[in-house]
Amino acid sequence: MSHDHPHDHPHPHDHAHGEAGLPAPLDTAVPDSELAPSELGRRRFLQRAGLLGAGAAAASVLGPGAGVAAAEDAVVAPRSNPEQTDSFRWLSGDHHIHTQFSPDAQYRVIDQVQHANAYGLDWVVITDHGTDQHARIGVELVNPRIVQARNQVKDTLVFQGLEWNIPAAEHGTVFVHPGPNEVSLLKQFETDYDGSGPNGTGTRAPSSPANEALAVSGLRFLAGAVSNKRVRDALMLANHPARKGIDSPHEIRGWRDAAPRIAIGMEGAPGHQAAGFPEEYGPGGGRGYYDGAPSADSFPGYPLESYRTYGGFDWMTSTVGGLWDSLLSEGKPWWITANSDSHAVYGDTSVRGDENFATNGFYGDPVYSDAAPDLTNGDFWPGYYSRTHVGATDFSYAAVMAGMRAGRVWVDHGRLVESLDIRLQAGGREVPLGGVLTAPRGTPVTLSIRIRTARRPNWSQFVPQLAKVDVIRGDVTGPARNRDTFRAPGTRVVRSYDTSGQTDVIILRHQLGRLDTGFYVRLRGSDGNRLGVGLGGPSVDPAGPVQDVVGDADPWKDLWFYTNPMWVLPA
Amino acid sequence: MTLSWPPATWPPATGDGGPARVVGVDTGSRQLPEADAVAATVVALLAEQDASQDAVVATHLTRLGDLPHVTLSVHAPGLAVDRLARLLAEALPDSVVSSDVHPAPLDAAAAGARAHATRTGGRAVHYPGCERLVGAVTVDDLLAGSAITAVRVLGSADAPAGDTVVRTRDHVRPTYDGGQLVLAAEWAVGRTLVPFENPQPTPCCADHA
Repeated sequence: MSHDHPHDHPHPHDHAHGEAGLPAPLDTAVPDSELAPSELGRRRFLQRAGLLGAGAAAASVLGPGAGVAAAEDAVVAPRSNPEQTDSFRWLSGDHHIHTQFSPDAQYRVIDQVQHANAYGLDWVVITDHGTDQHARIGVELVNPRIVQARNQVKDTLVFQGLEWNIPAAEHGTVFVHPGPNEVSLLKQFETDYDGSGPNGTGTRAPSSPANEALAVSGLRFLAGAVSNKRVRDALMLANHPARKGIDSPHEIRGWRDAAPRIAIGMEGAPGHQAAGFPEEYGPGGGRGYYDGAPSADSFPGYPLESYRTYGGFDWMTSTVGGLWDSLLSEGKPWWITANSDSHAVYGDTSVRGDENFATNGFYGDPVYSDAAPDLTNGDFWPGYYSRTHVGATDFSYAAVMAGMRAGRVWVDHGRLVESLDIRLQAGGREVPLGGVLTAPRGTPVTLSIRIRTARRPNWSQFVPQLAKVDVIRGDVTGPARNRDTFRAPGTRVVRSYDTSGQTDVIILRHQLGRLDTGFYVRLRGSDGNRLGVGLGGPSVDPAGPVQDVVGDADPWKDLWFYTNPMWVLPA
Repeated sequence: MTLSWPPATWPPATGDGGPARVVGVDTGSRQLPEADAVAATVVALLAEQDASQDAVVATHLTRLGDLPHVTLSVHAPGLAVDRLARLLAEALPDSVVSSDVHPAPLDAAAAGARAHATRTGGRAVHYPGCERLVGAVTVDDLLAGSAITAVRVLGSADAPAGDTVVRTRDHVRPTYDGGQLVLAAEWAVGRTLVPFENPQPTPCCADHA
C-alpha cells in the first residue's frame, strides 16, 4: 500500500521533535520570529495562562533532553483569591459514540447529538466501527449528517472520527479537527490501516509483529497529516483496553512513543455501563461487557482479574500500581477518559430500521417499537452516565483537542461531582491536571483540591453523595526496562479523605512533603457504596473499587471520579 | 486428506522425564470455541476406544507459529501413547501430532503436551468427573467428584468455603497451574460462584441490540 503524502510545509522550519502535531503558536519548536502577529499574540496568551509546553508535548515528562525545560512553561502563579474558580472552561464530552453507520448500532447522528446535548455534553465524537462498508460508504455518507447536526445543535461540538480496529489490538477512537479534508483523511486512514482489512477479512486483526507495526504506521500517518496541515489536528485513544487482553503493555507504550501528540490515552472506564444490570431487568452481562476470557491473541502475562471491571473502570486504570501507573511512573503522559460507547440504549423504545447494512453501509432510521422497552440493551445515551471533562481555553474544536492532549481531563460517572479544581503547587508556582512542575529539591509540595459537590440530581434523579477522596502517589522511576511491565510497585494511596456529609464546596490541602525524587499524584473519589481491598493489597489500596459482578452490577450504586495525574520534578 | 505417519519426531525419545505420556495436536484453531469442537471429536474418539473415563483433553494458547492459535493435548492412560497418537493423526488430518517428549525446539503441539504433562499449563475441556459438573454443585462436591484440585476466586487468596454453591452453567474449564488443576471462579448473583470462563461471552463488536 502507499501512504505517500505531500510534505509542502507552509513554514520553512523542520520540526525538532520528529513528530509535530501542534498548531504553530503551540509548537515550542516554532520560534517566535516565525509566527504571524496574531499567532504570537495567541502564544503569549497561552504562556500567560500556563498552557504552553505542558509535559504532554514531549514523549516523556523527563525529556528527551529539553523536556523538563519545556515543562517549566506549564507553571503559573497561584491565584490571589483561592476561592476563584480556575481559568479553564471545562467542557464535558464523550469520544466514543456509534450510529446507524455501525453494523451493531442503530441511531441517527442527530439522535446521539441531541441526547448528548440534552444530557449536558459540550462535545462528542462520532466513532462508527471501521468496516469494509464504512471505509467505502459510511465514512462519506455520515459526514453531511454530522455537518447538519453541528448546525442544528450549536452548543455541542460534533467531531467526526471512527472506531479504529487497531491492527493486532483492540479498538481505538481516532478523530480529527473539522475541515475540508476530514472525510478524505479518515477514509484513507481506515482503508490503509484498519485492522478489519480492506475486505473485512480480518487478516490484520491477529496479534503479530507485522500487524503491530502496521498500527504504529497508522499513527505516524496521522501525525504526518497534521504536520503537513492536511488536517488541523488528530488524536487517538485506546478504547476498552483490557477487555480482551489484546492491548499488550508494549503495544500501548509503542503507540505513545511513536506518536506522542496523536496517541494520548485510553478509556479509563469503558462504555456499556448498563450491561451489568441483572437478567431480570437487564442484559445480565459484565459491566462494560467485560465478561470474556483470554484468547490466543491475548497478552499471556495479563492475570484473569484484568478481564473484569472494578467500580466500572478498566483494570489498567482501576488497579493502583497497575498498568496506568507503570506508564505514569515512567514519566510517560498517558491520559484516561470515560465514554458511553452508545450503540443501543438500555430501556429504549426504538428499534433498528431496515436491515440492509451489508449493502447500504447503514441501517434505516430507527423506528418506534410497539413491543416493550428493550431492557437487554447495555448502553446509556452520551452524557447520561459517563463524562470526560476537558479544561479548554475556549469553546472550540481546537481547544478541546489541545486540552485533551495536555491531560487537563477528569472523568466521572453518574455526575458524582459538579466540578473539580486540582492544582499541584511548589515554590510559588502551580500546574493544573496533566501538568509538570519543577522545583528545587527541598521545596515543599502541596496538592490543592477544590471540589464542588453535586447539587442537582443526576439523570437517575438522585443527588450523588461524595463519600471519599483518595490521593494516589507514585515515584517517577524513569523508562521501563521491560516494555511489557504493568506494575508500579511504589505507587499507593497516600491519603484518603472522608467527605461524607459534606456539601457545597470541599477544599482540601494535602502536604506532599519536601521534594526529593520526582513523583506524580492523581485523585480518585467514590460514593463509598462498594469499597474493598485493591488488587495490590491493603498497603497499596485499602479501600478501592471492587470487581463488578457479572450479571449483578447496578452502575448507579457504584460511582467514581478519576483525575489525570500531575508531576513534580526536581529542577 | 493427508496422513503422514509416523512424523519425523515419532516415536518420541525417552528423555529425562521418562517416556512420553501426553500427545499434543495442533489443528491450527484460531479461537477457543473452534478448539473445543476439536476436543469434542477427540473425546468421542476416546469413547470409542473405551478410554475417555480417565482421560484429560486440554487446550493451550500458543504464540508459536505464524499466528497465535490454540492447540490440544491428550492424556489417556487407557491407551498406549503410540496408538493414541496414531488415532489422533488419522482422525484429525492436516494436524501436527507431537508429544511431551520432543527434541528442542518445541513445536506448538509439543509445547502444549509438555505443559499438560508437567501440569503447568492448559485448559481442561474433558477430565475425570467433568460429566458430573452440571447445574449447581458445592465446592466440596466439585473437588470430591472431579479431577479439579482447587477453586480460586478472582482477586482473592483465600479458598472459598466448601459449602459455597458453584453454578456451573454446564461449562467448567479448569486450568493446570503449578501441579494443580485449578478452577478459576468469580462471585455471581446471590453470593454464588460461577466459573470465570463464561460459556457465552459477549463477542467483539457484538450486535448487542
